[in-house]
Amino acid sequence: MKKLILLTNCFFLGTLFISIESKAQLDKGTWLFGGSGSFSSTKNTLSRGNIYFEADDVDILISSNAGYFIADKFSAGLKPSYTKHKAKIITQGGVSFNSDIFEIGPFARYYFINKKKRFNLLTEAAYQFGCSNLSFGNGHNGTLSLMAGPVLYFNSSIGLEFLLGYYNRNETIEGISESEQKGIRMTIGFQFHLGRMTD
Amino acid sequence: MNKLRSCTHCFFLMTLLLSFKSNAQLNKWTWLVGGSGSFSSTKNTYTSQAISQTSDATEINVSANVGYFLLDKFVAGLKPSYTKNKNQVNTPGGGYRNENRIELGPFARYYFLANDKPFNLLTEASYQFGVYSFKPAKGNINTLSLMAGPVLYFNSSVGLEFLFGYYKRNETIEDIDKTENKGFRISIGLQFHLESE
Repeated sequence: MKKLILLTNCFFLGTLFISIESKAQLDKGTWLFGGSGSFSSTKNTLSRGNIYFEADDVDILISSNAGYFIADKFSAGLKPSYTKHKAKIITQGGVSFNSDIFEIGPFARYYFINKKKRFNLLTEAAYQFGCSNLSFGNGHNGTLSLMAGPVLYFNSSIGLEFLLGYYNRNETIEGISESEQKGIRMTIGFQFHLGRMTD
Repeated sequence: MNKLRSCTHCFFLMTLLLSFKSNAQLNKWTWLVGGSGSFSSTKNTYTSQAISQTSDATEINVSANVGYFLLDKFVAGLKPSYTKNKNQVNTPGGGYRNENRIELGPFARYYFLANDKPFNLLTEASYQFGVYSFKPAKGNINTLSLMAGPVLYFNSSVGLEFLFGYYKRNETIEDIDKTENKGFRISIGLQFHLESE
């Protein structure tokens, strides 16, 4: 199995490098966009001995970023995101749970290498402030991330990024709880560069 | 907030549409490869009126697909994936779990439109069999999915897919529990087309 996973990863990386053909638009006045999303609506059951649960779940995750190159190789902008989790246990008394979390905040990123290259190295600092609306209370959260890593360009508009860095998230549910997560994380994602129409 | 999100989405869509210039390689003997991954290692603290605890968590998610076009517009292949979820609660009496899931299975997909278009419509069927381990417990996993949707091409090698469809997953941990998830899902992902020599 390990051999198969290794082989698969080799194909994945090989394809990536063969696909990289162009440099990106990192000039002042260029827009930078990215985002991801997922949705699921499922019916879930759990059987454990004599215990049986049945529940309906809905999960939505949308996150995006929109930035502008204020100077060559330097962009700044905003990161909004929305997360929803809704669960209704049909058995065991029919308990329901719903959470909606909105977050938004600034980011800035700098690209280190000459913009004529088909790859680059970048660093990004971001902070998001958020509010949460839960079935049992309201709260707020703050997320700081400091990331760095390579980006590979398919053409002048599309880049695939591999970022590794530090992450710290605090969340407070008023009068109920406080939680903190901090550590290392890695993300893989793509970004779109859109030049000015006058270019 | 809604206006800002709407504006952001407009820019996102506009950028997408402006970026698509090329048709994809859907010819017989072409490889199709995709995948995603994430990793995090975090120290977590949680405080409420009832409890205060700290924990260390590690999460790894790696999934991939490798396929081969047996015919023009028809591809078949394998989907391996690995998930690790490790959590150690550091306070006295705290729990520990170290769950590992490895899955593998076939998939087949068909593209409906001619391969000279900068976009296409596809349908995909896949099945994965997997094993669960958290010593001494072990179990098995079965996942079926039937998806369909559009794909938009950045160039002849890279496509961005928006797939919607039905999904069913059963997980049985021997002598402990059985779970089943079924319903609809949307997935967004990149696929790479690599022509054979």
